[in-house]
Amino acid sequence: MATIDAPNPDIQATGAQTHPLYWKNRGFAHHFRNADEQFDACKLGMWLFLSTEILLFAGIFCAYAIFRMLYPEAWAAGSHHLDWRFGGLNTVILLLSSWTVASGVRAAQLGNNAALIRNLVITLICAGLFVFIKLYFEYIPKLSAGKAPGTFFSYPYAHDPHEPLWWSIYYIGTGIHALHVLIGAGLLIWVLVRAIRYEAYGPTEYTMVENSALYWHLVDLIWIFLFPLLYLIH
Amino acid sequence: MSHSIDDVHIPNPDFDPTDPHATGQGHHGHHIISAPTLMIVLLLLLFFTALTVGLSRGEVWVQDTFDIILPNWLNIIIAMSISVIKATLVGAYFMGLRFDKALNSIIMLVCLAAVVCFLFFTAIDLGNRDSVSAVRATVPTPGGTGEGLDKTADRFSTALSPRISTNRMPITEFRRTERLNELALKQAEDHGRIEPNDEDKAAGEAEFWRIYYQGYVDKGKHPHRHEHDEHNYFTKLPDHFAHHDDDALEPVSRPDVAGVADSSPNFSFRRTGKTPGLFSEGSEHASDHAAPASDH
Repeated sequence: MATIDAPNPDIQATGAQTHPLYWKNRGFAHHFRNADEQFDACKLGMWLFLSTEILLFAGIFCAYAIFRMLYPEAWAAGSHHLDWRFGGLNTVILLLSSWTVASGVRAAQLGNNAALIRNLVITLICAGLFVFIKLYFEYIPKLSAGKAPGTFFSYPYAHDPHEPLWWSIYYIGTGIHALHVLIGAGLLIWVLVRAIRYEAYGPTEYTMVENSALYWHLVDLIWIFLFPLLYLIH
Repeated sequence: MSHSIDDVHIPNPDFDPTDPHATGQGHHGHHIISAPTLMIVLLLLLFFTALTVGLSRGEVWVQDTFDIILPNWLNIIIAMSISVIKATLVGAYFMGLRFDKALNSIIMLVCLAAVVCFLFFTAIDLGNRDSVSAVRATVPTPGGTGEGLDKTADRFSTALSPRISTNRMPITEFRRTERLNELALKQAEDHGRIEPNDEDKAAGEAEFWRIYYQGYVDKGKHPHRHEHDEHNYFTKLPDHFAHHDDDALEPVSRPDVAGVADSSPNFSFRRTGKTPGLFSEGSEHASDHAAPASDH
């Protein structure tokens, strides 16, 4: 049985390689028969969590569908206030970051720590860009023009009396999505720090990379639906 | 022939009788997706993004150029189909579901089935609203009135919630009036008056619409006449608006807000509320406004 909880004496006793978090020094919990089983259990748990995340956004999509059916004019007028170029740019940014994070998982599976770090850094830059565009070019100008949700609405040139409702759905949908972007970026920063400090990930130990990447892909997946619903359909 | 215990044939010397299924062999069989596959999936995703944006812009172009309004459901079906293809690509390759244990895909599909149920039952509920008994009929104020906040403001005195009462006016109308009063007051101040007179109100209104149209000019967009611009300040504004005058064009026909009017193909849901007050301002009150229209 290859349970190795203690540092491997074969490895040169220098730097990170003696650290218990170095990927070759990791074992698995005693209630699993092997590392594979532990990995599959972790991933199963992650997929269960992701399905609850999808159901969370399903509520928002359902609210969108209801109010769209009831007040199509408000939805048409509301979506004209959004600039498809910022939405499109953010879509491209998220797709690129999804690709780099998938490449990061591949790098970890191949034991290429440098490539993992490189891919995570690019992903985090994309995350920062996404949030910056969302805030600086979309939220701030819109809110300062009074295009705010519900009773906070103070834009005097509305075409339809239901436009505050459109803005409520817009801010809830994109706001909760942006929150997920920030949480995902936080997870990836954690992964990045461990990769830099301890070389924590390699072919037999990359559960955390895999699950953080799955979370990041979910963020991308949600945006794939939010983008056309908000920016393109009118 | 003598048989000793040493003669027992062991086919595999690595066989461990304490672990007959060799579960302790560590990692095996994790699929590593090749770099070219990941690159192709990324390029496909970018292609589909460009496609969905292109089709959406194309629809706008067709509307502007040929004055053809495509039905709204076409737009929705195309955009959502492309989204589903993109989501499948992300799920199958980036998230690795195609090479993963089937259980993970099953969880995802069950979850999506739940989402479909969620949308389906909501849709049939909305679709059957016509047959709801009139007991629940109330006259809703579109966009809300802020009344609820007024009531709760005393109990939860928080600076965050705006204490506004719109006198049962839609909040959009309320905000418009608010800004018009502000501008009229400013005009009055400039002329040394305390109360704005009719002249100030008219000047304030002109300024109100100038700000609106100027916003479009500043963004380099073609300004269209706002439907609430009753006095057509569009044509009274300075020269640089004059050549944009599209007042001669018929505005795009929209279904009546009251809901019982004709449905344009550009709007997806024909709202014929048999339940008074559910979709319209209320059939009792609708007659006040609808009567002159039916004369034509």
